[in-house]
Order: sequence, then C-alpha cells, then structure tokens
Amino acid sequence: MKRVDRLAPWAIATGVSLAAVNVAIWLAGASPWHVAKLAVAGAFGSAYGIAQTLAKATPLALTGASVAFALRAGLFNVGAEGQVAMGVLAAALLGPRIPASMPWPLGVTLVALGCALAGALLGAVAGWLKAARGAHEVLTTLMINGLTAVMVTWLYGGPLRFGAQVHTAPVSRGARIPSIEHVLPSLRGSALSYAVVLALVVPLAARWYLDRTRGGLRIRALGASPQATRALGHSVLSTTVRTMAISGALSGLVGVHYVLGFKGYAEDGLGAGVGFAGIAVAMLGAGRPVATIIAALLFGALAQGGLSVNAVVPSDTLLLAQSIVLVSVGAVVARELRAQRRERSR
Amino acid sequence: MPLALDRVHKRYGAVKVLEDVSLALSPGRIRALVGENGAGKSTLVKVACGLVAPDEGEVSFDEAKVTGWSASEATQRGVGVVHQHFTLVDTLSVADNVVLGREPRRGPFGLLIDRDAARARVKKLGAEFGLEVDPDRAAGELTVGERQRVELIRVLDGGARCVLLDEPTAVLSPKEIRALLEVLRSLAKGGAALMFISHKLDEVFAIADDITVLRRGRIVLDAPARELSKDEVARAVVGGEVPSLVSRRKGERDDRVALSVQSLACDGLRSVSVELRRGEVLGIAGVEGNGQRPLFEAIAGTRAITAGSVSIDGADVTRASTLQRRRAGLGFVPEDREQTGLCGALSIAENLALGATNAADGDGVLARDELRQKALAVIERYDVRPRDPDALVVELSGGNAQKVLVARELERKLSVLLLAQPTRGVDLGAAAAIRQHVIDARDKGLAVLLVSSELDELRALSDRVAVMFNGEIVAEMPVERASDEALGPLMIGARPSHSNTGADIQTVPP
Repeated sequence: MKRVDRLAPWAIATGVSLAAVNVAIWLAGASPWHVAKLAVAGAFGSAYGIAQTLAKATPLALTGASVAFALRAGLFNVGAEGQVAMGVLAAALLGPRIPASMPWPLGVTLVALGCALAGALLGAVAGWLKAARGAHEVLTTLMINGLTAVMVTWLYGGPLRFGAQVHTAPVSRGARIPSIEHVLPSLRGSALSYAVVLALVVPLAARWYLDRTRGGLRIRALGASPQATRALGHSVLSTTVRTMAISGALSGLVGVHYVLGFKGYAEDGLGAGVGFAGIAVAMLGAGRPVATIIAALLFGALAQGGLSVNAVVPSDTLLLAQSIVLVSVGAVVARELRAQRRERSR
Repeated sequence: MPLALDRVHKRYGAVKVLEDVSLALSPGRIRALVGENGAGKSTLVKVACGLVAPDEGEVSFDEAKVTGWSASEATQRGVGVVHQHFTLVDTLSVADNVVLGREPRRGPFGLLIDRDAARARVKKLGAEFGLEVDPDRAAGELTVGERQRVELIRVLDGGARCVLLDEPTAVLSPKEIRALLEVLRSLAKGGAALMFISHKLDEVFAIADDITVLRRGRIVLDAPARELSKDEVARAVVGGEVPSLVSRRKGERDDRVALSVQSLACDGLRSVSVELRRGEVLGIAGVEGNGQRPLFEAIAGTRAITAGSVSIDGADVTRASTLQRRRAGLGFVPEDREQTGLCGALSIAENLALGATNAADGDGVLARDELRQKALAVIERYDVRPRDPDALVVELSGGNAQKVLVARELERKLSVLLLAQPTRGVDLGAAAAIRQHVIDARDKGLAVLLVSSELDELRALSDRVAVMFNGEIVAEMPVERASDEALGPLMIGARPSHSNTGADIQTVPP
C-alpha cells in the first residue's frame, strides 16, 4: 500500500473526531473555537501548562507501553490499573525506609525496582492463572484490580496512615526525585519531575526487548501462534507468566512518578484511572514506541486542557474527545486489519 | 455457452492476477483448470461466479452480456460453486442446509418449513446423481466427503446448470475421489457445464474433456484433453521440465533403530507400535482422522499419552518434554502448516531462528545479522520467494511457507522427522523440491515417518507403507506391494487377509 493510502484513513479519523467534538461543544452552548483556544492554551500555552501536560503523559506512556507489551503475546492486560496501585503502594512502603543520606539516584533506583517487582507479581499471578488454569486474563486482571483497589483504600486509611494526615508517611530525601522547578523556576507547582525520563525510555526499551532478544522473540511467537509455540517445545506457561510479569512491571513503575516524583507520599486514589487510560494509549500507539509516547502526550494534553475549559463547558467534553478519538481510531485499525486479512487470504 | 469469460483482467495492487483470460464452458463438458499456487485459479473461479469484479473484460451467460455480474445474479442464472472451504451450518440437518434460503413452505401463510418436501428434494437429487446422504443427519457429523456431497446437492438444488469446483479432491480419500468423479461425469451427462480445479493430473486426465493451464495469470495451454499428454500439461504448469518424483536410495541402509514406538495409546490412538531405522522412510496411508494426527502429536510430545513408550536413538523419551525430544533429534512438520507449523506474523528469519532448540530459553540479544545471513542461505538453498529474510511468513504462498517449515526442521541435526502432508496445497515445482530435500536428508541417515493423503507421494518416498484405520496400524507392507488396490480396502476398514493382499503383509494383532 502506498503511504498516502495508509495515512488517509488516519486523516479521516482525525477529521471526524474534531468535527464530533466541535458539535458536542456547540450543543453545550459554547463556541468551539473559543473552547479549542482555551484547551490549547491550557495544555501548551505556558511553561506550566506544558509541564503539566508532560506530567500527565508520563504515567500514560508507562501503562500504554505495559498494555502494548502484553498484546504482542496476544494477552490483553486490563490489569494495569491494579498493577499501578501496587507500584504506588510499593513506593509508599519502601520510600520512607531509604536512608535520607543515600544519594537520590541510588535510592530512587532501589524503590523503582520494588515498584516494578510489585507490578510484576500481580501480572505474573494473572499470567499463571491463564496458562496453568485457563482463566482468561481479562477476567482475572479485572478481578485483581478490584481486590487491589479495596486493599490500598484500607491500607491508606488505616495501617499506613501517617498520624493525622490522610496519606502515608513521606518518602525519605534519599528517594525523592528532585522536582524540575529547581532548574526551571517557572514550573513551580507542576507535577513534572525527572520521572518523565521513564516515559521516554520505557516504551523504547520494551520494544527493543521484544524485537531484539530471544526472550522477546518467544513472546512474539506466542502471540503469533500458541500452537506453534507448543509444537516447538517452547513453554507456553513460562512465556505467558514472563510476559504478564514484565507488562505488570512497566505499570508498576508508575509508582515512581506519583510517589517519588510528584507527591512524596501515597494516598487513596493516587494514580487511579491511568491503568485503564493506558489501554487507549496502547491502542493508539499500536505497539510502536514513538506512537505510544505521542498518544500519551495527546491524552495528557486533553486531560490538562480539560481543566482550563472547565469554566466554559464541562471538562468532560474533552473526555468525550478522548472517547471519540478512540472509536474512530478503532475503526481505522479494524479496517487496516481487515485489509491485511484480505491480502493474506489471496 | 452457458458461461464465458472474455479477455478478463484482474489485478490486486501491483500484482496482475489474471491477464487477458478468455474461457468458455459448454453444456455436457468438463473443464479442468490446472496451475501452480498463485497462478490465479481461485481468482478466476471467483470472477466467474461473481464474487470478484474483473478490472477489464466481460463475463457473459447464455450469450447475453452481463453487466455488473454479481454473486446473486450468478446464482440466479444457474452458476453454482463448491468452494474449497465448506460453507455448511454444522448444527443444521443436511436437508435444512440444502434448502437454506429457499425453503419449501407449508401451513397458513407459508409460515412453516415443509421438511418433507426438503427431504424429498435431497433424496431425489441424491438418487439422480449418485450423491447419497441421509437428509436428517446434522452437517457437523458428516465426513469430509459427505459434506462435499451436500455442498454439491445444494448447488444443484439451486438449479445450477454450470458448476465450478475449487480443488474438490484435495480433502478426499481415493475411494471418495472415485465416487466424486463418477458424480461429475453423470452431471455432465445430464447437460451441466462443469469446471474443476485440481493439482492431480491423474484425475484431470481421467475425467476432463478440456484442460486449461494457468500460469502467472495467463492461459498458457487450452485444449481438449485427448490432444494432450500428461507431460505436456505438467511442463505447461511448471513452465519447464518437471523434476522426477521417484528417487531410490543411494548407498547402504543402516540397521540402527532411530525411532521406536511401543504400544502407544492416547485420545484418538488405540495402540500403535512403529520401528524405524536410520535412513528409512515409513509411509502411513489412511483416510484422514484415523489417528495419524494423534500419533504424530504423541510422538512429538504435544499430546498426553495413556500408555506405551517412545524412544529416539535408543534413548527413552516417553516422559520427556517436547523440547527435550527436539533436542534428542526429533523434527516435526505438522499438517497444519499455518497454525501449528509456523508463526505467520513473524519473518522468515525469525521462524527459522525459533526452530533452534537453544531458542527456547535464555534472554540473550539476537544476532540479527547472523540470523539474516543464515536465513538468506536457506532461502537460496530451498529457493524460497521472495528472497527476503524479513518477509513475513503469512505473506508467502503455501509452497514457499512449506519450504520454510521443512527447512526449519531439516537444517538442524535430526535423527527422526515426523512429516505430515509435506506437499498439501503445494504446487508441482515446490512439491518436487521439498521431496528432494527430504530424500537428500534420508540418504544422510534421517529416519522419516511420513503421513500423506497422496498415495503416489507415499509410494515415491517410502520404503515401507503402513495403513492406519480407527486409531490402529492395521497392516504394513513393503512399498512394492502398496498398490491402490491393496491399500484401498485397508484404508476403509477391511481386515487384511493373506489370500488377496499377498503374504508380505504383516497383520498387526489388535
């Protein structure tokens, strides 16, 4: 297919999304142009806005990479939500225990390993249930999401509560990621930290692992054909568990951003929603790391821009935009898949 | 002329699938359409039955030009197709399947389906053309041959006077093939115009009045069958000389046992014992579904066994995993090439890399350039097209994909190869190349357990032929004795008796 042919459906999808959002805004009684200006100004119009957009995109790039990773093995990890919660919990537990005298890169690395391990554990459980017991990963990860949510609510409100505060004990200085506002004072108050580096590195690293290593090749082989994997004598069980563990680890890393970079502690609801949004990011990114990062940026910008249009139309309008983008992109992807199948069947 | 194609062109993207194809079917005559995979045969059938619109040219019916030739119009005018993949609804009865979409009605306002009338229609057509099927059985319970008969009845019930069949014999046993050819003959006698696609020249010459050879989208040969010889047709198909099928052994046979299977039993397999020496090929004949697949899977270790033992080169691997068996020197080319054989979404180089037994563990970085070099060497040696190690396997034609699969296995150090349907759906040229590679490996000491529904292939490659029926090996004979007459009755369950099949046949006690 020619490049133009390939890009045309995407252009149409974008056009349709824009039109639909504008109609929605117009129905809400506002001027679409005005709202668009507000949203763009909110997300990109100031250093602070850009920083907030980047900060909102950071966890989305991680969960997007996480969901996309499992998809390569044909596994649909909708448990990123729970795996994020576990990552946040791990950071809240480990962060305060790092000695304050430890250099922060070392302390953060230690805690990050804990976050990844916590997410990996949760993912591995779903992987094992799938491969050894035949329980579908969509069901098990959803159930585990629910369990995790209840557990952290209880922990943050009870055993892990820090004195009179409604959050956990503050992370020690040895595990705090310095805020970027020390370098750029104009970013004061923004959630952006050096954790944004993760958002750039993790999607690329995940793709590299899949494409360039033997372990990655086996994961892709499983996605291409479980029967062939079995006939070749490669273990479906260990590959499934490994895939879900790595996918969970990528989501778990979100704890680094929220707890070590942004808040300095964990509280109920921190990171809620970024797991599910990661599914959308993964769909838009279609397994390509750069596209995943751009999709995360788009959703980050919509979330940030949504705040500044709140005065004119409900910020939910931009949530609507997200949904419309997803539906139209879904249509394009489905069309491409159909076209590919037609080519194959010839 | 019920159906005629005039100067039809069809292209998909940059690929010309049909170029300047003109063809006419006449009542009472059978035309065979022959050609390699990807020559455009299926597309031609699709154009003729209105499923695909030609880019240029015309399709006409009964001398009347048909503009906007469409599938529904084709059906109405009496063009019927039996596709390669059957289209029956498994849960409906045979009669319901046949009348689906044009059910006979009864009762007030015609609200009820007149099942008696439907049954009668099935029985009448069955009796008329020798297509006997019980109209009340569910389609899902039928054998492949019976399902095909139902497809034919459905086409005839729709009033088709022109019937197109896409590789109708590919899935049938020799006996079923003979029956189908009879049916086609009686249809032609009744005045129908027929066209069928086949890779098997024997049956083409047995039944066709006219033969059309398609090569790279063009008609390269089109003549009455009596004016043609098999060699001529085969040369036209391949576009050159056809490599000979038979290759007898070079050098001595080795007496060491490579594969020993003792009383192996599992779901679908009763109790099978097989002994195979180095450099020997044992062919297994049998109608599909009589335990061939369970036998291979049990030996490969992908199916749980209930009794028996397997050893490779004298080492017991009964309890070994599939990977351990592969490391012990077992290779497996499964019949289901697309799903079980290969990973379609991965490249040629990646598929070849996955076959290496050390690919099954570890996380090391792939030496991609080295893998590409290796793949390129294999691509050269096996003449895989396109010559691109990064081409996805799903984009290859059946023959090229099969070459990749066979190469993946043969390019390792192997003692035993389980080879199922090595040339199914593979064109003549590629089939000959694949057989040659197997024979070369055999001459170097490889033991091969072969399953093929093509008895000619079985005889050309095997030293001994065993017959499987109902999950058991019911007879075994040297290849010289394995004639169609000897194998046929055994394949459908006749117990071998020494009087009519010769003293060399050893009956395996149940």
